[in-house]
Amino acid sequence: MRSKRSTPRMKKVMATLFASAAAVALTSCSGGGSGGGDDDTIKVAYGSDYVFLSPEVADQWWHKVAADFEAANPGKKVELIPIPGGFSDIVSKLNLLYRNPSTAPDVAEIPDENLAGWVASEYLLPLDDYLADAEFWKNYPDSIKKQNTIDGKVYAVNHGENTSGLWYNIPMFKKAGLPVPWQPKTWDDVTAAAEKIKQTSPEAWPVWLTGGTSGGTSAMQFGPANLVAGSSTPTIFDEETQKWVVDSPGLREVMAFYVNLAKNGLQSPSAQLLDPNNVVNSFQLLADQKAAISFSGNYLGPTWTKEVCAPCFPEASEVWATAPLPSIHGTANPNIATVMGGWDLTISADSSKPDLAWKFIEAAQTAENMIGFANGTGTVPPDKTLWSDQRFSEAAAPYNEFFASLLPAAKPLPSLPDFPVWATGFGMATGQIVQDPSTTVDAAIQTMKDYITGQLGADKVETLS
Amino acid sequence: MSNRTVAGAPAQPDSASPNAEPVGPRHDRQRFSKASLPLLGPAAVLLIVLFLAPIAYSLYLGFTNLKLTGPTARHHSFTGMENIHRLLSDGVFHQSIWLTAVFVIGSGVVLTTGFALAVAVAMQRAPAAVSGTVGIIVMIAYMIPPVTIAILWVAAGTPGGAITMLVGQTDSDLLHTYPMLLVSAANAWSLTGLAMLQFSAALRNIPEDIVEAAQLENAGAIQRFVRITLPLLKPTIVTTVLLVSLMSLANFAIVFLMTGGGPGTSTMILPVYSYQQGFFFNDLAYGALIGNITVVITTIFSALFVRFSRRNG
Repeated sequence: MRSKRSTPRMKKVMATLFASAAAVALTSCSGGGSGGGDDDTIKVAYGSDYVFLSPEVADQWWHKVAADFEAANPGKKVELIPIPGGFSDIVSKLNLLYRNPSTAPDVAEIPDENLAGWVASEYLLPLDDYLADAEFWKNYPDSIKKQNTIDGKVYAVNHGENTSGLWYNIPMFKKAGLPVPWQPKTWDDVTAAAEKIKQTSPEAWPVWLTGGTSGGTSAMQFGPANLVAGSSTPTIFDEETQKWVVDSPGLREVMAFYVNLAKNGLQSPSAQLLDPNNVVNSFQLLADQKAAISFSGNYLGPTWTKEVCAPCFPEASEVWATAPLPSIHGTANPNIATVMGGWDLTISADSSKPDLAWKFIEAAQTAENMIGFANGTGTVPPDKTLWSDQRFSEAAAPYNEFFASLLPAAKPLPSLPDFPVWATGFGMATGQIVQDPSTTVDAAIQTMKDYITGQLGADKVETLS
Repeated sequence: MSNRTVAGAPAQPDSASPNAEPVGPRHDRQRFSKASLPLLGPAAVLLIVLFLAPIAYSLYLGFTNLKLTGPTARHHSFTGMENIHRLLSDGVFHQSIWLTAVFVIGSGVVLTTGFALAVAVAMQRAPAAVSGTVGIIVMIAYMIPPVTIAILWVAAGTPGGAITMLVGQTDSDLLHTYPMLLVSAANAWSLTGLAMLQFSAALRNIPEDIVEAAQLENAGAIQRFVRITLPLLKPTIVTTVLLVSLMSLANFAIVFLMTGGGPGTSTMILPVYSYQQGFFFNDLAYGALIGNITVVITTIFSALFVRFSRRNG
């Protein structure tokens, strides 16, 4: 069939269509710049889904802080950049925003565990000069100040911290004849209690302690990392040698604890422990009293309140009590083993308005907003004068005050770029034991050692004796 | 192809007979008109900007020390063969190549093609209501998003799930005991609908008279399937195998959502390993290099697919 020739009219139509398409393309391109780049507007990036207990509360809190900032600084505006998705989505998005100075947010909410990496990337501004006059900073415990400091300079202002401990089921403990309140002095006390529970409440999982790699570094922070902190050698990254520890008496003690639980049938089902959503799933599983002793963070109490209700468990305080995880032999002073991790506010090194950005941080760090953040996210406010403030302590009593009291003794996790590699190797070892209770300590350590050495190179790892 | 003589075309070239009447343009050769360049332009620009340029950039990144975080995040440099040396001695990468082959061949070639062919043949003579219903069910499995598929299969493969009940081990954790089998089955389950459609269409094109002739010669059902159906379906089988292999290679979502590459590294197929290195371990350059290997493998499969599709077409 012979094709029709283009008529002049058709040519005009085609030309118009091409021109329109080109115009649309160019317009779209020009809209792709950083936006809001005027001198009176600061850009603030934050996790909109993951950090708060619900996206709606996140939206309310950030808009309130923005409104407070704009009221205190007439003529100035805030451009909020919400980052949806989970932990890794927030980190990836921030990484990509920071890579280009024109898209770097003036203020960003970052997770503790990325701080050193982003300082090394030259993304963040030292805040020491601003903090010299900040009242709230004087009330921070030294542990948090140290966590926010890299190479002698403070690059971040924490605005909500997590600690972890042991949650134990009061009815099951009473049934087993165990003391309530319970204060285990050593790790053996924990396994002994689990053994008794197994006899008297066979339907329950004696211990909830996550393992494996699928829950990422967050699951590790709320579970096994606390054991490392309470072991006889808690070092993960050796500052002196600048090497990652892949084998040490402490790591072997942690693996032995896992083996002991697994071998004696004291752990929860592997499908639950290895689930990528193991931490979030535990909100419901523990409200349903599936386990007797749980290695969990401070978030459970605020999650179960009438206000947050995810799930609703207002009678929680009659069922679940808390105790600090002790060090392995009870020799630490204080005898508390917990790591900490939370969210910080930072200013970009590329910000052209650092003073204005600092004013936003000041607006976020009022007592009212810090408590709002803590209650909305299920974290502890870093300002210790707020720990006994009823607006915080009563929001999830008795848990909030208990977990706040652990903060001065809490240890930070390394915030270097290679930490996820170490965490993955460590998770592979714990996961191996959870999955196969016949795994030996040697085999688990070997798995960890081989993986981390393979990824980072033999010159970046070491064995402690 | 362009040199073939078409039936009815002059036996001698035009130039050999100076007195011959002009016969107009030849239609047996591919023609190209410069006037078509502006029309091809937009597509070419899109291909270059959105496809070739990113691949070229990714190839370059594979030879740098670019990290997502750290001192080389903004100031990366060309590091030559350093990443290649690391790749060659990376045990997880070697394992990942093997796991990718197992996943693509196991789920794409064996499970998907096998299931799809079985369903298509079984439905060939089934009552319309039955074949229609089965068709709808397998197509729904193909149409639903990977997130839903992953959730369904995680629920089915863990204690209390449908599969654990079917195998009579309600409390067993099949997902973490046989992770590769479960993710492969989930992938095959999702692709069977597409493959079945292809086979059903091809089966309808098998001439009835050949089958009837075979029946008259007393050929049994198995003989007819092996001697008639399979040979006539061969071109479709080849293109379908290549297509589902390609789709399996690109199926990052199901594996990542179901197991995250684990437990340990037991389902760490190349796309998942590339993501883990780039976005979890912050090593964008190494992640890009692993991604490039996936691109090479995908290109080979794509070239085979195009070649067989053309031949069959």
